[in-house]
Amino acid sequence: MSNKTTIIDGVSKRYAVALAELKIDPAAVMEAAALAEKSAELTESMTNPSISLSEKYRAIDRIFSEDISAFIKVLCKNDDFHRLSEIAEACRRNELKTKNIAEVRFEYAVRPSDEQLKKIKSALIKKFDLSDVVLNLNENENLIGGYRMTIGDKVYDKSAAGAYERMRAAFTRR
Amino acid sequence: MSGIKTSDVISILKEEIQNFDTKTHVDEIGSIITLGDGIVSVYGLSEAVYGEMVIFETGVKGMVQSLEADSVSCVLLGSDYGLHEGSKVKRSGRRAGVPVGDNLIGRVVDATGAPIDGKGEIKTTEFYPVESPAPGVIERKSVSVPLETGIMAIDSMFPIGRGQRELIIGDRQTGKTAIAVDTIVNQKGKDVICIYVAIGQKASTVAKLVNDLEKHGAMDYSVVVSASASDPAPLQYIAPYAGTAMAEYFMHQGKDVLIVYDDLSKHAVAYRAMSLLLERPPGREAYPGDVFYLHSRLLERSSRLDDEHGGGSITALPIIETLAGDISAYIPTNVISITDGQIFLESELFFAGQRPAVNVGLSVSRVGGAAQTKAMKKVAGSLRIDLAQYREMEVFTQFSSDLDPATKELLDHGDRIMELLKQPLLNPLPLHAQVSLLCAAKHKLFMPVPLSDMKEFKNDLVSYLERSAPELMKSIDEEKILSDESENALVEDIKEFVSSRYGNAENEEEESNPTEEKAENQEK
Repeated sequence: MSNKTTIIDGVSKRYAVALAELKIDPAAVMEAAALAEKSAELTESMTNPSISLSEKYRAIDRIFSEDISAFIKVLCKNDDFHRLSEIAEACRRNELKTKNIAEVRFEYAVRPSDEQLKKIKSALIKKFDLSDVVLNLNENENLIGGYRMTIGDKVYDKSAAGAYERMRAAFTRR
Repeated sequence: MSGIKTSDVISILKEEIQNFDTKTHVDEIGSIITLGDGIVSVYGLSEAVYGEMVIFETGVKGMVQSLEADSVSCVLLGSDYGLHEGSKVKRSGRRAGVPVGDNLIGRVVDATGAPIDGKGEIKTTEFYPVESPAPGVIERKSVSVPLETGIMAIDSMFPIGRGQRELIIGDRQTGKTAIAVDTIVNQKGKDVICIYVAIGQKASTVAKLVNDLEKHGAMDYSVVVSASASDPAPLQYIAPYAGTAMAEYFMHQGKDVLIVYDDLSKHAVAYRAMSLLLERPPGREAYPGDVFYLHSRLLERSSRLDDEHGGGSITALPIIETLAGDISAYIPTNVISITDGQIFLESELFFAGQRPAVNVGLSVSRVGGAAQTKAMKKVAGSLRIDLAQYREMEVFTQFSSDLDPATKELLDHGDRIMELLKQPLLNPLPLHAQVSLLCAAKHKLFMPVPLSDMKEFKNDLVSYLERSAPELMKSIDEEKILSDESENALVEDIKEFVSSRYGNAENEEEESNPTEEKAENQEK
């Protein structure tokens, strides 16, 4: 998972909701998004206004699977093809939410053992009443020690760097 | 980092070490989506509340002003330097507020309560929200204790009471701030804490004002809150609320506070700028629809509390700048309808040398006599009527040689009253001086004094009375009453002084009006 938070705007969210209601598999959307990300030419041609819609539709029928092609055609028609990766991310998040699975970004200075990770997972499941937790592990030497966990908007900081930062703020606070 | 004690460092270290293994710090973090013109749109912060303080990763604070489905809009309370798309923002968990306490007295702070006078950190123990509800009807007591400005024109005709809101309104450069500053200087020794809120002023102007207050010892009981013209609009917007929060701290301790907002016109302009950037719909003159509420909720917090709630008070002197004397413009009419009276300063009077340039006809204090001492009431009762008659007759001044004696006397008397009401800057008059001078005016004892001598004469008269009748002067200051006997004694003293300077007033009257004598001689 990248360090940058993917910000999903209202339009992409509404596409994701529509796809969920049409019961289109999020995996197919993510696959389409990955394909578009890999091929700059594909993205360029789908967003190129000089290429006619009918030509784009023909290309879509050849490249994408049948279950997803109608959706991609709608995106092209609405000039929203550039939102595909955002929509895929929104679909993924919706799926996790539906299944009551939380995605946790776990940053560490020293990688916890598998046993410790297992304990962390079960503690989170119990605390937030979840069915499962997806731990995205990231090594961050800047933490010095301890860990930092991000769940949604909330950040649980038990790192040495965080403690030093709070100490610094306490000294310099007015 | 200045002013940190070793003991503070040790206690912080001890706490951090003790809690190192057990403490997990929880923050709610969002990311900046858009940033520009002091307005930041933040993704996340789903549990943020309206008016909450947020902290950006550079340490700058912001305030939540708009809540949307996926994002919140915040106004920056500082520089946007170092912030970019994706920068982290965290909730503080508390409403926008300022540190308050006794240690603020004598200090110059910005709208967030941070010191800007270079005198080090301000240690405070409490934190008041900038927005808080005004006291309810039951908690209030009616205004009955005077707040003396030291300006005779105001104390005699438009007396201000503790807990009142009196607007000072006029064009630019008519002496509005001078009235406020003179009032602050006059509170020395009167157990009133003063707060001066400078909104959108030049930093040099604020520096000069602080210097003047320091020179007169007024900073010993004053706080200056400054959101200068170079500060962003959100800081100028919250400055008066921050000042009021500081005043409320003292009021809740049972103290009397005087707060000056200089000026609310610039405050409205800053709020307009902020609202337009937040894409709120513009109304009349592009001000947002709630511009009345902006000032009404601010000024309603100035009140006098009853004894059950401490008996403290906040007296507000908001200042409004008009254009071309138009008091019927949008913002001036709003604030006039909120306050308990106004002191209207006119440019024509100012340029004619009448300073303070108070327009007696348009100024009013809705509290009136309830906020005036008995001594002042006794001597100033007829002043407004005399001046009203004078103004009516003034147009005949050009025909002075053709006027009947009664009209001429009325005009002469009016001229002397107008001279009496002139007062230099930073020279507030104590109560005994005002009462003495007005008593002389009431009994028309200034008539022998040439107009050109009035300025010097009144100073000399006050000095004379302080030497010759110190007990009487002291009793006026302390008991604030002028009995009939005292008044008669005062009149005699004044007559004696006038005659010593300008001869016997009665003899002079006969010499200047020989009409009857002439007629008798002619008959003979």
